[in-house]
Amino acid sequence: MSAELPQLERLIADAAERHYGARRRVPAPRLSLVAGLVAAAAAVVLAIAIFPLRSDEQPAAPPTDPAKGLAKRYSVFGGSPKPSRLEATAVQDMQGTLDTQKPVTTRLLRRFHDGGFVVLAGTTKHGTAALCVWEQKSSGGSAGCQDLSDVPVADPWFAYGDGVGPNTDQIVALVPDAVVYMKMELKDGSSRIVGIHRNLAYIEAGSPICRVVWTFADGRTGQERGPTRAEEATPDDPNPDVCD
Amino acid sequence: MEHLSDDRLLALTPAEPAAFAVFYRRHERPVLAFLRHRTGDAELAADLAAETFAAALVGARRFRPGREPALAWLFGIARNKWLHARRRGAVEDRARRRLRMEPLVLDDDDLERIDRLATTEWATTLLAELPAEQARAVRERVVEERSYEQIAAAMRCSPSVVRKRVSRGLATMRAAIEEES
Repeated sequence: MSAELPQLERLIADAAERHYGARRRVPAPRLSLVAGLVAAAAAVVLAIAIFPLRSDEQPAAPPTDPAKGLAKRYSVFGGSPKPSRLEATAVQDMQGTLDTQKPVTTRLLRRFHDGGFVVLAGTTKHGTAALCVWEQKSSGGSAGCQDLSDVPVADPWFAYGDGVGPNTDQIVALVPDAVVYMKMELKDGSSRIVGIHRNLAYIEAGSPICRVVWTFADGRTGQERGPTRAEEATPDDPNPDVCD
Repeated sequence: MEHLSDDRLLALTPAEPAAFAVFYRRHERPVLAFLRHRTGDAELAADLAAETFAAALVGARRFRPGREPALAWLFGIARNKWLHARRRGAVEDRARRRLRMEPLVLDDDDLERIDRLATTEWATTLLAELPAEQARAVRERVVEERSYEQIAAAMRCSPSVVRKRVSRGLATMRAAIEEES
Protein backbone atom coordinates (compact mmCIF):
# COMPACT_ATOMS: atom_id res chain seq x y z
CA MET A 1 0.00 0.00 0.00
CA SER A 2 1.43 3.43 -0.93
CA ALA A 3 1.05 6.44 1.33
CA GLU A 4 -0.90 9.59 0.45
CA LEU A 5 1.93 11.63 1.97
CA PRO A 6 5.17 9.77 1.21
CA GLN A 7 7.20 12.59 2.75
CA LEU A 8 5.41 12.18 6.09
CA GLU A 9 5.85 8.43 5.86
CA ARG A 10 9.62 8.95 5.46
CA LEU A 11 9.76 11.49 8.31
CA ILE A 12 7.90 9.10 10.61
CA ALA A 13 10.05 6.09 9.60
CA ASP A 14 13.25 8.11 10.20
CA ALA A 15 11.93 9.37 13.53
CA ALA A 16 11.06 5.82 14.60
CA GLU A 17 14.56 4.65 13.78
CA ARG A 18 16.14 7.59 15.62
CA HIS A 19 13.86 7.30 18.65
CA TYR A 20 13.90 3.55 19.15
CA GLY A 21 16.75 2.38 16.91
CA ALA A 22 19.28 4.50 18.77
CA ARG A 23 18.05 3.00 22.02
CA ARG A 24 18.21 -0.47 20.61
CA ARG A 25 21.82 0.17 19.57
CA VAL A 26 22.19 -2.77 17.29
CA PRO A 27 24.38 -1.09 14.69
CA ALA A 28 25.30 -2.38 11.28
CA PRO A 29 28.84 -3.75 11.18
CA ARG A 30 31.43 -1.08 10.67
CA LEU A 31 33.45 -1.15 7.48
CA SER A 32 36.65 -2.00 9.36
CA LEU A 33 34.88 -4.92 10.98
CA VAL A 34 33.60 -6.12 7.60
CA ALA A 35 37.12 -5.85 6.15
CA GLY A 36 38.48 -7.78 9.13
CA LEU A 37 35.88 -10.51 8.69
CA VAL A 38 36.59 -10.75 4.97
CA ALA A 39 40.32 -11.08 5.69
CA ALA A 40 39.66 -13.70 8.35
CA ALA A 41 37.40 -15.64 5.99
CA ALA A 42 40.05 -15.51 3.29
CA ALA A 43 42.64 -16.82 5.76
CA VAL A 44 40.35 -19.69 6.71
CA VAL A 45 39.72 -20.60 3.04
CA LEU A 46 43.46 -20.49 2.40
CA ALA A 47 44.18 -22.67 5.43
CA ILE A 48 41.60 -25.22 4.33
CA ALA A 49 43.08 -25.29 0.85
CA ILE A 50 46.60 -25.82 2.19
CA PHE A 51 45.68 -28.18 5.02
CA PRO A 52 42.57 -30.09 3.85
CA LEU A 53 40.62 -31.97 6.53
CA ARG A 54 41.40 -35.62 6.91
CA SER A 55 38.42 -37.89 6.45
CA ASP A 56 38.27 -38.63 10.21
CA GLU A 57 38.38 -34.93 11.19
CA GLN A 58 35.20 -33.02 11.98
CA PRO A 59 34.29 -29.73 10.31
CA ALA A 60 34.49 -26.43 12.22
CA ALA A 61 32.57 -26.07 15.49
CA PRO A 62 29.04 -24.60 15.31
CA PRO A 63 28.59 -20.85 15.89
CA THR A 64 29.42 -19.65 19.39
CA ASP A 65 26.53 -19.20 21.75
CA PRO A 66 26.38 -15.53 22.85
CA ALA A 67 24.96 -16.71 26.18
CA LYS A 68 28.26 -18.41 27.01
CA GLY A 69 29.76 -16.76 30.04
CA LEU A 70 26.64 -14.78 30.91
CA ALA A 71 25.88 -17.08 33.86
CA LYS A 72 28.88 -15.57 35.66
CA ARG A 73 27.15 -12.18 35.50
CA TYR A 74 23.48 -13.19 35.65
CA SER A 75 22.80 -16.40 37.55
CA VAL A 76 19.47 -16.78 35.72
CA PHE A 77 21.51 -18.04 32.76
CA GLY A 78 22.96 -20.85 34.88
CA GLY A 79 21.35 -24.23 35.37
CA SER A 80 19.39 -26.29 32.93
CA PRO A 81 16.92 -24.48 30.70
CA LYS A 82 13.26 -25.45 30.90
CA PRO A 83 11.88 -23.79 27.77
CA SER A 84 8.34 -22.51 28.16
CA ARG A 85 5.76 -21.54 25.58
CA LEU A 86 6.34 -17.89 26.52
CA GLU A 87 10.02 -18.20 25.58
CA ALA A 88 9.09 -19.76 22.23
CA THR A 89 6.75 -16.81 21.58
CA ALA A 90 9.52 -14.39 22.51
CA VAL A 91 11.93 -15.99 20.02
CA GLN A 92 9.27 -15.87 17.32
CA ASP A 93 8.54 -12.21 18.06
CA MET A 94 12.19 -11.20 18.00
CA GLN A 95 13.08 -12.91 14.73
CA GLY A 96 13.05 -9.52 12.99
CA THR A 97 16.03 -8.54 15.14
CA LEU A 98 17.73 -11.79 16.11
CA ASP A 99 19.00 -14.38 13.66
CA THR A 100 17.05 -17.45 14.73
CA GLN A 101 19.21 -19.70 12.53
CA LYS A 102 21.91 -19.15 15.15
CA PRO A 103 21.72 -20.14 18.82
CA VAL A 104 19.25 -18.08 20.86
CA THR A 105 19.27 -18.74 24.59
CA THR A 106 16.19 -17.75 26.54
CA ARG A 107 15.32 -17.59 30.20
CA LEU A 108 12.00 -16.80 31.77
CA LEU A 109 12.57 -13.90 34.16
CA ARG A 110 9.10 -13.45 35.53
CA ARG A 111 5.69 -14.88 34.81
CA PHE A 112 2.33 -13.15 35.18
CA HIS A 113 -1.07 -14.74 34.87
CA ASP A 114 -1.28 -13.17 31.40
CA GLY A 115 2.35 -13.18 30.22
CA GLY A 116 5.78 -12.39 31.56
CA PHE A 117 9.33 -11.25 30.89
CA VAL A 118 11.90 -13.25 28.92
CA VAL A 119 15.59 -12.49 28.38
CA LEU A 120 17.14 -13.60 25.09
CA ALA A 121 20.82 -13.87 24.22
CA GLY A 122 21.47 -14.29 20.52
CA THR A 123 23.05 -12.92 17.38
CA THR A 124 21.54 -9.99 15.53
CA LYS A 125 20.92 -10.05 11.80
CA HIS A 126 24.03 -7.85 11.60
CA GLY A 127 26.09 -10.61 13.21
CA THR A 128 26.67 -9.03 16.61
CA ALA A 129 25.96 -10.75 19.94
CA ALA A 130 23.01 -9.07 21.66
CA LEU A 131 20.83 -9.26 24.73
CA CYS A 132 17.09 -8.60 24.54
CA VAL A 133 14.40 -8.32 27.18
CA TRP A 134 10.92 -9.12 25.90
CA GLU A 135 7.70 -8.41 27.73
CA GLN A 136 4.20 -9.64 27.10
CA LYS A 137 1.03 -9.01 29.05
CA SER A 138 -2.58 -8.92 27.96
CA SER A 139 -2.40 -5.18 28.56
CA GLY A 140 0.58 -4.71 26.26
CA GLY A 141 4.00 -5.79 25.19
CA SER A 142 7.43 -4.36 24.64
CA ALA A 143 11.03 -5.30 23.98
CA GLY A 144 14.50 -3.81 24.13
CA CYS A 145 17.78 -5.08 22.68
CA GLN A 146 21.36 -3.98 22.93
CA ASP A 147 24.67 -5.23 21.62
CA LEU A 148 26.23 -7.36 24.30
CA SER A 149 29.38 -5.25 24.11
CA ASP A 150 27.32 -2.18 25.09
CA VAL A 151 25.47 -3.83 27.99
CA PRO A 152 27.00 -2.64 31.29
CA VAL A 153 29.06 -5.40 32.87
CA ALA A 154 28.61 -4.47 36.54
CA ASP A 155 25.65 -2.06 36.51
CA PRO A 156 22.00 -2.77 35.76
CA TRP A 157 21.00 -2.58 32.11
CA PHE A 158 17.83 -0.53 31.62
CA ALA A 159 16.50 -2.68 28.85
CA TYR A 160 14.10 -0.24 27.21
CA GLY A 161 16.72 2.45 27.02
CA ASP A 162 14.52 4.97 28.80
CA GLY A 163 16.77 5.51 31.77
CA VAL A 164 14.85 7.56 34.30
CA GLY A 165 13.26 11.01 34.24
CA PRO A 166 9.94 12.83 34.09
CA ASN A 167 8.60 10.65 31.28
CA THR A 168 9.47 7.32 32.91
CA ASP A 169 7.22 5.70 35.44
CA GLN A 170 8.48 2.15 35.22
CA ILE A 171 11.75 0.30 35.61
CA VAL A 172 12.65 -2.75 33.54
CA ALA A 173 16.30 -3.63 34.11
CA LEU A 174 18.46 -6.71 33.88
CA VAL A 175 20.52 -6.64 37.07
CA PRO A 176 23.85 -8.46 37.57
CA ASP A 177 24.21 -10.71 40.61
CA ALA A 178 26.71 -8.23 42.05
CA VAL A 179 23.88 -5.76 42.74
CA VAL A 180 22.09 -6.62 45.96
CA TYR A 181 19.74 -3.69 46.52
CA MET A 182 17.95 -1.12 44.40
CA LYS A 183 15.98 1.96 45.38
CA MET A 184 14.17 4.60 43.34
CA GLU A 185 13.32 8.22 44.10
CA LEU A 186 10.11 9.64 42.69
CA LYS A 187 9.40 13.19 41.58
CA ASP A 188 7.28 13.78 44.66
CA GLY A 189 10.37 13.17 46.82
CA SER A 190 9.38 9.74 48.12
CA SER A 191 11.59 6.64 47.85
CA ARG A 192 10.73 3.00 47.21
CA ILE A 193 12.65 -0.25 47.09
CA VAL A 194 12.78 -1.89 43.68
CA GLY A 195 12.43 -5.66 43.93
CA ILE A 196 14.94 -7.82 42.03
CA HIS A 197 13.87 -11.32 41.08
CA ARG A 198 15.80 -13.66 38.77
CA ASN A 199 18.04 -10.76 37.73
CA LEU A 200 15.04 -8.65 36.72
CA ALA A 201 14.22 -5.35 38.39
CA TYR A 202 10.67 -4.44 37.47
CA ILE A 203 8.32 -1.91 38.97
CA GLU A 204 5.43 0.27 37.78
CA ALA A 205 5.82 3.36 39.94
CA GLY A 206 2.73 5.23 38.74
CA SER A 207 4.60 8.55 38.88
CA PRO A 208 7.84 9.90 37.40
CA ILE A 209 11.04 8.20 38.55
CA CYS A 210 13.82 10.74 38.97
CA ARG A 211 16.66 8.64 40.34
CA VAL A 212 17.58 4.98 40.82
CA VAL A 213 20.37 4.01 43.19
CA TRP A 214 21.81 0.52 43.48
CA THR A 215 24.18 -1.04 45.97
CA PHE A 216 26.75 -3.74 45.30
CA ALA A 217 27.57 -6.56 47.69
CA ASP A 218 30.80 -4.78 48.67
CA GLY A 219 28.91 -1.62 49.66
CA ARG A 220 29.71 0.48 46.59
CA THR A 221 26.82 2.26 44.93
CA GLY A 222 25.83 3.33 41.44
CA GLN A 223 23.04 5.51 40.14
CA GLU A 224 20.98 6.60 37.15
CA ARG A 225 19.27 9.98 37.30
CA GLY A 226 16.96 11.96 35.08
CA PRO A 227 18.20 14.94 33.07
CA THR A 228 18.43 18.31 34.79
CA ARG A 229 17.01 21.60 33.55
CA ALA A 230 20.49 22.79 32.61
CA GLU A 231 21.03 19.72 30.46
CA GLU A 232 17.66 19.74 28.73
CA ALA A 233 16.86 23.43 28.19
CA THR A 234 17.10 24.70 24.63
CA PRO A 235 16.34 28.15 23.15
CA ASP A 236 13.09 26.68 21.77
CA ASP A 237 12.14 25.07 25.06
CA PRO A 238 13.73 26.93 28.00
CA ASN A 239 11.50 25.20 30.56
CA PRO A 240 11.60 21.49 29.77
CA ASP A 241 9.80 18.96 31.90
CA VAL A 242 12.58 17.69 34.18
CA CYS A 243 12.94 16.36 37.69
CA ASP A 244 14.86 19.22 39.34
CA MET B 1 5.44 -7.50 8.83
CA GLU B 2 2.38 -6.41 6.83
CA HIS B 3 0.37 -9.35 8.15
CA LEU B 4 0.84 -8.44 11.82
CA SER B 5 -2.01 -7.01 13.87
CA ASP B 6 -1.96 -3.37 14.97
CA ASP B 7 -1.36 -4.45 18.56
CA ARG B 8 1.63 -6.51 17.54
CA LEU B 9 3.06 -3.73 15.35
CA LEU B 10 2.92 -1.27 18.25
CA ALA B 11 4.42 -3.81 20.64
CA LEU B 12 7.24 -4.51 18.18
CA THR B 13 8.02 -0.85 17.44
CA PRO B 14 10.57 -0.31 20.26
CA ALA B 15 12.57 -3.33 19.15
CA GLU B 16 11.84 -3.06 15.43
CA PRO B 17 11.11 0.59 14.49
CA ALA B 18 10.16 -0.39 10.93
CA ALA B 19 6.96 -1.83 12.40
CA PHE B 20 5.67 1.68 12.98
CA ALA B 21 6.03 2.55 9.29
CA VAL B 22 3.67 -0.33 8.53
CA PHE B 23 1.26 1.00 11.17
CA TYR B 24 1.52 4.46 9.59
CA ARG B 25 0.78 3.24 6.07
CA ARG B 26 -2.15 1.21 7.32
CA HIS B 27 -3.87 4.12 9.07
CA GLU B 28 -2.69 7.24 7.26
CA ARG B 29 -5.80 7.56 5.08
CA PRO B 30 -8.50 7.26 7.73
CA VAL B 31 -6.62 9.64 10.02
CA LEU B 32 -6.13 12.22 7.25
CA ALA B 33 -9.77 11.86 6.17
CA PHE B 34 -10.95 12.28 9.75
CA LEU B 35 -8.82 15.39 10.34
CA ARG B 36 -9.67 16.91 6.96
CA HIS B 37 -13.35 16.36 7.71
CA ARG B 38 -13.01 18.00 11.12
CA THR B 39 -10.85 20.96 10.10
CA GLY B 40 -12.06 21.55 6.55
CA ASP B 41 -8.45 22.41 5.69
CA ALA B 42 -6.05 20.00 3.97
CA GLU B 43 -2.89 21.73 5.18
CA LEU B 44 -4.08 21.81 8.77
CA ALA B 45 -5.17 18.18 8.51
CA ALA B 46 -1.69 17.14 7.32
CA ASP B 47 -0.05 19.12 10.13
CA LEU B 48 -2.32 17.50 12.71
CA ALA B 49 -1.77 14.05 11.19
CA ALA B 50 2.01 14.53 11.45
CA GLU B 51 1.70 15.44 15.14
CA THR B 52 -0.78 12.61 15.72
CA PHE B 53 1.54 9.95 14.31
CA ALA B 54 4.55 11.47 16.09
CA ALA B 55 2.68 11.31 19.41
CA ALA B 56 1.58 7.75 18.65
CA LEU B 57 5.19 6.83 17.89
CA VAL B 58 6.42 8.27 21.18
CA GLY B 59 3.57 6.53 23.00
CA ALA B 60 3.78 3.20 21.15
CA ARG B 61 5.64 1.54 24.00
CA ARG B 62 2.91 2.49 26.42
CA PHE B 63 0.00 1.39 24.26
CA ARG B 64 -2.01 -1.20 26.15
CA PRO B 65 -3.97 -3.49 23.87
CA GLY B 66 -7.18 -5.02 25.10
CA ARG B 67 -8.76 -1.83 26.37
CA GLU B 68 -9.64 -0.63 22.88
CA PRO B 69 -8.54 -1.26 19.28
CA ALA B 70 -5.33 0.49 18.20
CA LEU B 71 -7.21 2.50 15.59
CA ALA B 72 -9.56 3.86 18.26
CA TRP B 73 -6.49 4.76 20.35
CA LEU B 74 -4.99 6.54 17.31
CA PHE B 75 -8.24 8.39 16.62
CA GLY B 76 -8.28 9.42 20.27
CA ILE B 77 -4.86 11.03 19.83
CA ALA B 78 -5.98 12.68 16.56
CA ARG B 79 -9.08 14.05 18.23
CA ASN B 80 -7.08 15.45 21.14
CA LYS B 81 -4.65 17.14 18.78
CA TRP B 82 -7.53 18.64 16.84
CA LEU B 83 -9.26 19.87 20.01
CA HIS B 84 -6.00 21.31 21.30
CA ALA B 85 -5.45 23.12 18.00
CA ARG B 86 -9.00 24.48 18.07
CA ARG B 87 -8.57 25.80 21.61
CA ARG B 88 -5.13 27.29 21.07
CA GLY B 89 -5.52 28.33 17.45
CA ALA B 90 -2.27 26.53 16.63
CA VAL B 91 -1.21 22.96 16.02
CA GLU B 92 0.91 21.50 18.78
CA ASP B 93 4.33 20.27 17.69
CA ARG B 94 5.66 18.86 20.96
CA ALA B 95 5.96 15.26 19.80
CA ARG B 96 7.61 16.27 16.54
CA ARG B 97 10.13 18.46 18.39
CA ARG B 98 10.88 15.61 20.73
CA LEU B 99 11.51 13.37 17.74
CA ARG B 100 13.49 16.12 15.97
CA MET B 101 11.27 15.74 12.90
CA GLU B 102 11.76 18.11 10.01
CA PRO B 103 8.77 20.23 9.01
CA LEU B 104 6.37 18.68 6.53
CA VAL B 105 6.43 20.52 3.21
CA LEU B 106 3.27 20.05 1.17
CA ASP B 107 2.73 20.74 -2.49
CA ASP B 108 -0.53 21.22 -4.38
CA ASP B 109 -0.72 17.54 -5.28
CA ASP B 110 -0.50 16.53 -1.62
CA LEU B 111 -3.26 18.95 -0.66
CA GLU B 112 -5.41 17.78 -3.55
CA ARG B 113 -5.03 14.15 -2.44
CA ILE B 114 -6.05 15.04 1.11
CA ASP B 115 -9.06 16.99 -0.17
CA ARG B 116 -10.03 14.03 -2.31
CA LEU B 117 -9.98 11.81 0.77
CA ALA B 118 -12.51 14.09 2.39
CA THR B 119 -14.70 14.51 -0.67
CA THR B 120 -14.93 10.78 -1.08
CA GLU B 121 -16.05 10.88 2.55
CA TRP B 122 -14.45 7.59 3.24
CA ALA B 123 -15.15 7.44 6.90
CA THR B 124 -18.83 8.28 6.43
CA THR B 125 -19.23 5.98 3.48
CA LEU B 126 -17.46 3.13 5.19
CA LEU B 127 -19.50 3.59 8.33
CA ALA B 128 -22.67 3.51 6.26
CA GLU B 129 -21.59 0.22 4.73
CA LEU B 130 -21.23 -1.47 8.11
CA PRO B 131 -24.06 -3.43 9.69
CA ALA B 132 -26.15 -0.94 11.68
CA GLU B 133 -25.10 -2.22 15.10
CA GLN B 134 -21.40 -2.14 14.26
CA ALA B 135 -21.69 1.33 12.73
CA ARG B 136 -23.44 2.64 15.81
CA ALA B 137 -20.86 1.07 18.12
CA VAL B 138 -17.94 2.49 16.11
CA ARG B 139 -19.51 5.94 15.85
CA GLU B 140 -20.33 6.17 19.53
CA ARG B 141 -16.97 4.80 20.65
CA VAL B 142 -14.57 6.43 18.18
CA VAL B 143 -16.31 9.65 17.22
CA GLU B 144 -18.31 10.44 20.34
CA GLU B 145 -15.81 8.87 22.76
CA ARG B 146 -18.45 7.20 24.92
CA SER B 147 -17.34 4.44 27.24
CA TYR B 148 -18.08 0.81 26.41
CA GLU B 149 -20.30 0.66 29.46
CA GLN B 150 -22.34 3.68 28.32
CA ILE B 151 -22.74 2.29 24.82
CA ALA B 152 -23.67 -1.12 26.22
CA ALA B 153 -26.38 0.45 28.37
CA ALA B 154 -27.75 2.36 25.39
CA MET B 155 -27.63 -0.66 23.11
CA ARG B 156 -28.91 -3.03 25.79
CA CYS B 157 -26.06 -5.48 25.55
CA SER B 158 -22.88 -6.27 27.46
CA PRO B 159 -19.70 -4.15 27.16
CA SER B 160 -17.87 -7.16 25.70
CA VAL B 161 -20.41 -7.34 22.86
CA VAL B 162 -19.83 -3.63 22.19
CA ARG B 163 -16.07 -4.22 22.14
CA LYS B 164 -16.54 -6.97 19.57
CA ARG B 165 -18.76 -4.78 17.42
CA VAL B 166 -16.26 -1.91 17.51
CA SER B 167 -13.38 -4.23 16.76
CA ARG B 168 -15.17 -5.94 13.87
CA GLY B 169 -16.43 -2.64 12.48
CA LEU B 170 -12.96 -1.09 12.50
CA ALA B 171 -11.46 -4.22 10.94
CA THR B 172 -14.03 -4.10 8.13
CA MET B 173 -13.34 -0.39 7.56
CA ARG B 174 -9.63 -1.00 7.43
CA ALA B 175 -10.01 -3.86 4.96
CA ALA B 176 -12.18 -1.65 2.75
CA ILE B 177 -9.60 1.15 2.86
CA GLU B 178 -6.84 -1.26 1.89
CA GLU B 179 -8.93 -2.64 -0.94
CA GLU B 180 -9.69 0.88 -2.19
CA SER B 181 -6.02 1.83 -2.17
